[in-house]
Amino acid sequence: MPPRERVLVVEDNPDLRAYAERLLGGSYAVETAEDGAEALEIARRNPPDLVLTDVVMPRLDGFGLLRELRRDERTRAVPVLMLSARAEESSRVEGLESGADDYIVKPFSAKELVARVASNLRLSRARKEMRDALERRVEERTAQLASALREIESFAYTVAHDLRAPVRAMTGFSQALLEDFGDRLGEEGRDYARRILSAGRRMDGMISDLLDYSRLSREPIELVEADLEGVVLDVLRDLEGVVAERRGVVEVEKPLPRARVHAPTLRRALENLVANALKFTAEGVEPRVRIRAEGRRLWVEDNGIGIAKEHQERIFGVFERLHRPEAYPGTGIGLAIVRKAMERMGGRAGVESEPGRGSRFYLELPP
Amino acid sequence: MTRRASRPPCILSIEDDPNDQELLRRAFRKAGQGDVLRVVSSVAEAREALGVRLSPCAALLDLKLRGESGFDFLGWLRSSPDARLCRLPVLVLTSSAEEGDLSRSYALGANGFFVKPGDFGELLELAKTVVEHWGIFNRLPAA
Repeated sequence: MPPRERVLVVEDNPDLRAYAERLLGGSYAVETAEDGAEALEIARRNPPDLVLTDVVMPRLDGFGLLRELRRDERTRAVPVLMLSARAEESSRVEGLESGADDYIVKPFSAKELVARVASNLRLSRARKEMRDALERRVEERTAQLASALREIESFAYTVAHDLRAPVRAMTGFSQALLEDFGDRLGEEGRDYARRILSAGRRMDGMISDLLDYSRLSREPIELVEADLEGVVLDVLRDLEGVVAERRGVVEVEKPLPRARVHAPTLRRALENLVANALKFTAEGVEPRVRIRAEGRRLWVEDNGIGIAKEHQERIFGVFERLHRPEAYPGTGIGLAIVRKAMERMGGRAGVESEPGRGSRFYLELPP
Repeated sequence: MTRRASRPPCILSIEDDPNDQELLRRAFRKAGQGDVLRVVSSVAEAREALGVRLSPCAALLDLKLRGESGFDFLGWLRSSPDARLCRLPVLVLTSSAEEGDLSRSYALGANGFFVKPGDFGELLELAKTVVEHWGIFNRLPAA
């Protein structure tokens, strides 16, 4: 048989207290208290299943008790029934609005008291069952997600080993073919071998990028206040070679603010944007890049070929390219990395651009 | 003082992928060190080769192998009572650049960690460098 539900009766009038105890003692385990303060002590020690309380009491009255019960995590959900001699509507409304679950007017009928206690306990039980069911569902879902994440991680790991090996063979042996037997292949044969080599390299690049991208989703990210100028300088140092090769000019509008970021992730995003700005220029045009901050946004502006409105969302997808690889090299993952990087930090990335008029990419930092 | 070791160097490669084996052989050949490389396809074969008093100046070890893994080999090697085996320089040469594999390799006593290059030119450079560093310049204690 399940243990009896526990009811705490709080009443300063000893006769009324005893009466209530008698009425309820048959079906419930009844504890009593003389005032709100004593009741609070008892409730905190061992939260009852229901509290039946008078309003007017010394030390701590019914409303005070209710307030304290609701404030404490352990007793917040316990149903509280108020007993009061004040029958006016205003008192009943005040009682219910203050958070009592029910309001019983003295003198009360025995049957009514028992019925209200039973009904409130029933409601409370139902609420608890729903809460428990919900918590179980959340736990299940979390376990499912954790398991799915582990599957994805092991998939990325498998990709590294299993896909890269045949790709290595493709590039390695087509290179060997060209080097050691090129003179015997003829022009067409050499062309075919070169195409195999090129496709292999592209594939290896895509695998590398995918692993990079998936690592970005898995890494733990912690935001720390950093000097954006330092991050920008790091990026420009890394891209020194590319800037020189493309004969580009990169201008940084100072001062740049400090912000709460994950520096390595922001560097990845910025590096991709600046590398793109240096890459996507029209034939014969030397890239001019400007980096500046405005509000929460870090802007990377270029004098490149620009992007038509209808493509501006698409380009942030994985492996999305607008141009032939011969025109502009790359796997098309740069902007996907930028977007994912900003997402992980609680910010976002976007672009303003028109074809032929350059592009202005922004990294919006979290508030 | 001569910088060269007194006998021709030997590099032991433990690699089970036949294509990677062939590419490695080609790289050593192109580096003019075709006789230096000795290739085995499994940890069991490696144990056998090392047991027959083969004294390589370094081992190139793949991690993902059929049967026992590269980690198993490292564990066995570093706990060997034979000082020659226990101190053998091991260079991991693997597809994976995962942080976990990296730290585990060093924790188990690897001396270096290389990611297999996709480009043959880089593999050639790697072969040249490994032979020069571990085969020619490096000294190992007498067995």
